[in-house]
Amino acid sequence: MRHLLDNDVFFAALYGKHTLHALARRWLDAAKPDGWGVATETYLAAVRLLMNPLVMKSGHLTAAQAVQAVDMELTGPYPGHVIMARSRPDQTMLKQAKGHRQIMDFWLIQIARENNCVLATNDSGLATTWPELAVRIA
Amino acid sequence: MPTLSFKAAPAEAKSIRAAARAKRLSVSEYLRRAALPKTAPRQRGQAHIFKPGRVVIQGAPEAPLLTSEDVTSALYD
Repeated sequence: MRHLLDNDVFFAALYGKHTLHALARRWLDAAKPDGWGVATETYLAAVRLLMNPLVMKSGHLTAAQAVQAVDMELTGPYPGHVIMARSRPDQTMLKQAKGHRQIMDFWLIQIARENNCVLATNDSGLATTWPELAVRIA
Repeated sequence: MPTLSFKAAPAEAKSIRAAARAKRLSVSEYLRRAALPKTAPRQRGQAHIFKPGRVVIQGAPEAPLLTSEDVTSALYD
């Protein structure tokens, strides 16, 4: 597996009304043959977003529909992995976070490191902070 | 508009008329509804593309474009 997708990239690939949809969709379709996956947290984040009426308005999905959509994306000719962390959060890594929003990003970086892959993100700050563990899709 | 007609036994005709009357429909409308499958209503959030390895959820017409900031807020704030 070469790429682990962050929450935003994975959701953007799935959702047509994300401003990064075209970019994320194109990038993911091209990256899949090299091997790809999402952390369990990213899988669940996509399900949560697809079910959230504040995000999806009247188009929000039921749990069954959201899980089916995410699972369907993970199948196909180049199926994606769903990665569970093998270790506890790395305190040294998490202590570098500048705010609460970075905690999940840093956790995904740790999971990417554990699995010898890089985190695919559109967050330029993340890619700058962890140049060997994150790659920007843009 | 084409007209369809068919033969029915007296008992069948009586039964069809009674069933249509019970549903407050004309015989034509009753038979039309019985013969034609309902058009499936568009499901909420129906995927525009929904096939193995490639899913795109179309989104509701009134849903605004989402930014990465919106996604982060929805997940973490």
